[in-house]
Amino acid sequence: MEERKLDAQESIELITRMIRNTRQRLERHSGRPFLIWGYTTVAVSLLNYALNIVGADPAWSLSWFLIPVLGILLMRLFPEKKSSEPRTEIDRIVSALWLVCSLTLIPIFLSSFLHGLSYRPSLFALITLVMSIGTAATGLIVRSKVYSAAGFFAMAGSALFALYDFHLAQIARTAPIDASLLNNEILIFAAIFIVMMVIPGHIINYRTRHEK
Amino acid sequence: MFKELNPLLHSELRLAVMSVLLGVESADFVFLRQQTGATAGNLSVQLDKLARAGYIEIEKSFRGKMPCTVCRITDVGRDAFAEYVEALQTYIKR
Repeated sequence: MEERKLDAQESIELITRMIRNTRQRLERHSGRPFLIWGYTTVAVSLLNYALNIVGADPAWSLSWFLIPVLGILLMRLFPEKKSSEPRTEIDRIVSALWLVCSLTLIPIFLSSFLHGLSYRPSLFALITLVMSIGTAATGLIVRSKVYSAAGFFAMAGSALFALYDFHLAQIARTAPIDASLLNNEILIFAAIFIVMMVIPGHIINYRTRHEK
Repeated sequence: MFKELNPLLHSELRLAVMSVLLGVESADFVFLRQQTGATAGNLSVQLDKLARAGYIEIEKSFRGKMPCTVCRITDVGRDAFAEYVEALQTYIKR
């Protein structure tokens, strides 16, 4: 490209082409945060499941707060590779969306801290809903079918907690239920995060690697 | 009546740079080179001209040991670009 004078039509075509090329960057390089937060949530969930199984002191449930601590730490340790690609308006919108979702988790975490185990099932559903809204909205914004599908699937999956509660209530009508059955909700929570964040993160990273 | 086209923007490379920067928060020198296909020397000269007019801001830093030049469009640049497109329309309509 030289310092050449253009006619009006050429100018319009050049402007259109440049803006279109710049906006083509959509779902690339977005797998890493999903993998970090997905694996962290699944790992801490399984840790809590195991602690409940072995009958550890209830104070160990504070280990749920490892999710934000580990997540932020891992995001710092493994940041996105710096590339020459610019930060677009779409990047800014997705960042703002996840900032809102993250801030929404603060009152949820505070509720879980203050209310204790009695509110646990609805808290799992709330956390799943917030994160699935973030995932589905990210998918729609960056036009990624993988993230959209995962987000909407997880959104539907958040109803599983209520269904499982209903199932336990049915059992409780005829016989006293084993407290360990409540523990299975942690497994539902972990499974939803695998579908919502871990699998899509790997798919997007695989696609990104094979695009190069 | 034809409106006068801003001579600073009515050049292929400078117009391409402004069009790219319009759609992003900021872009580095390597990305601008990739998008415009210009040589480093020519791009550098044109960026300086745009910066001197106040249309873009240039921030020079280091990414590791590599020098990194990041450009972003200013409000003055946005206004000038909007006026340029407005003037361009008077030519297209005829």
